This record gives sequence, C-alpha cells and structure tokens, in this order.
Amino acid sequence: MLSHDTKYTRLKVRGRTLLGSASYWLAADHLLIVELSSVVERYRRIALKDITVMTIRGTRLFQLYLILGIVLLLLLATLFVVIPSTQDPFNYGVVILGSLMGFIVVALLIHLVRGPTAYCELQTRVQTVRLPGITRRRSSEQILALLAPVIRNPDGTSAHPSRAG
Amino acid sequence: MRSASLQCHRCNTLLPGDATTLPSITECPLCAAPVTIQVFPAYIQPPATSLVVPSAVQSGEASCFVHTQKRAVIPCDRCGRFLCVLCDFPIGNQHLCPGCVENASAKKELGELENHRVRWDLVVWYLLVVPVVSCGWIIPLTAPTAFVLAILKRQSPPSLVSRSRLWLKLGMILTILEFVGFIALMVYLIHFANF
Repeated sequence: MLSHDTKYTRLKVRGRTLLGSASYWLAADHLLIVELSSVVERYRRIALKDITVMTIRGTRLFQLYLILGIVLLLLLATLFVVIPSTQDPFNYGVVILGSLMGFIVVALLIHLVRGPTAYCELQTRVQTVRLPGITRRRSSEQILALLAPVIRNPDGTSAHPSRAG
Repeated sequence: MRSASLQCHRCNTLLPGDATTLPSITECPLCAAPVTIQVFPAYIQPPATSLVVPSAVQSGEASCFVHTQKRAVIPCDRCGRFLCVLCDFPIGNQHLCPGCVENASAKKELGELENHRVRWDLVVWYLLVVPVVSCGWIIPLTAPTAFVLAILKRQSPPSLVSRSRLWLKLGMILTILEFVGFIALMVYLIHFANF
C-alpha cells in the first residue's frame, strides 16, 4: 500500500467523483493520481519537471445547482401548501414532501458551505490533465498551494507537504 | 520559449501574456470567467530533446533484429534478440524489444506498465449489499457468486490505497453469513410462520 511506502506522501486533498474518489500521492519526482471509478482503480503518474502550468478554472455550476435547488424547493413548498389537509394527523403526503424539502435544504446548505465550483488542470507540453474529484475552488487552491512549491523545486529543497493522517 | 497557449475554458479566447504576466490574470478579458494561473519553470525552459540516432552497422558487428542496417547495442532480456538504440525499451531494470513489451503488457507481466486494477473487494461487497437494500430474493444468486469471486480473486493484485485483501476476506465471510441467514429465514417463514 502507498500509505506504507516511504517514497510517497499523501496530499491532504481528497477528491470525490460521482462513482468513486481520487487521491493524490507525491513522490520525489512525480505526482501519482489514484482514481477509483466504480470498481476500477486507475493510476496516472505525472513527472513534476514536466508540469508547465497549473490552472484553476471557475465554473458556473455553483450558481446552477443553487438555482435548481431553490426552484425545486419552491415547487415542493407550493405542493405543500396546495395539498389539502386531512383530519389524519399523520398525512403521508406531508411527511414525504417535508422529508424531500428537508433533504434539499440540507443539500443546499452543504453546497453553500463547500463554496464556489472550479476545476484544476495540470498542463505539460503534451497533455492537459484535469484533476479528478477536485470540483471546488477551495480544494483546487489547496492542491495548488501544496504542489506549486514542490514543482518549482522538484529536488526536494522546498517544504514538503504534510503527511495525511 | 512558450510551451502551449492558454485558452479561456468558457469562450476559448487566447489568454494574453507570457510566463511573467500570466499569473497576474484572474479572469478572462473577454468573458470574465475566473481563472488562476501558476506558471512553472518547465514553461519557459526549452524541451529536453534526446535525439537518438542509431549508428550504422560495421563489418563484424552485430546488427539490430528489426533494423538490419543498424548496430545492435544490447540484447532483449526476454527473447535475446539484438536491439539498436531505437528498439531498446528500458523498463525498470530490464531492456526489452517492442514485441516483448507488447506481449508482457497484454499479459500484465510488467508492473511498471500497469495503469489500472479492478477492485474485486468492491465487486464482492456490491454483490453483498445491493440485494439486501433492493430485492432480497436474489440473495441465493448473488451470495454464491460473491463467494466464488472472492475465492477466485483472493490472490489478485490488491489496491494501492485501500486494504482490499482484508475487505475481500471479510466479504467472503459475510457472503456465507448472508446465504445461511437467508436460508434460515426461508425455513422459518415456511415452517414456523406459515408463510
């Protein structure tokens, strides 16, 4: 396992994808990206000396998800009001709608806390690699801050990123 | 020397500037899409090209198996064919010919060329959990399948980041428990609960 391998240091950035996750491992001369996609684990190694540019590109998904969530919430709230109240205090329709609204509110809150969406790209002379699972500006800036000093000094003279627990 | 042009991801406009001015750009000048750019030394350094030209074979010298006019420099560590500098593939501690690299890659014999692994522990766990949360009646089908898979794949290469062997063993035990539990439930429902 990489966590037992002294050559690798795990970067404290964890990527989440729709069907899996991604982790980033730093060696003296390369970055290893381990991406789990459903049941297949893929490995990609990028030599640090080959990286020319790192970019963080902001996306509009933050606003899009926010608007979608609010629209859905308003729709459910309208249904909530329209559903005729019955004598039965345990109205299934109200319970289901309430649960859905609660779920959306929680999802929206998490979305707001996680902040604006963005993706991070590593560029070499021959390829551009979009870092998997990095979907927020905060995590993109985090990984950029961890990698930039190491890419500038791949011989290890820079401060090494702290090891993940 | 500029390595590659940077474009805006939204409007595809070429972002103006060079290695010194690019990091100061915070948004696309045309569509105002937010962007943060970090430029590294490799951006301005010229590419390190290593133009390897195999020398022509002289009389009395061994020639390359593929390029018969070129001088052989090393034999393949697997098949022993003589190779010129173009045909020599140094992989790990071995020097291989293109044919052996292709064969070894197809047979997954070279760990250095491995770029993915199947997480059989996850397959077993999916087979364990999915019937429980969806349709319990397929347990007699999925539990033995998961058990057989766990047995067959117990020696497969483990995950690089997770304790997949441990999870596979745990899954194996749970498949037996799931299957036995299902049979016990059926027996109970048929004989004792008049189901």
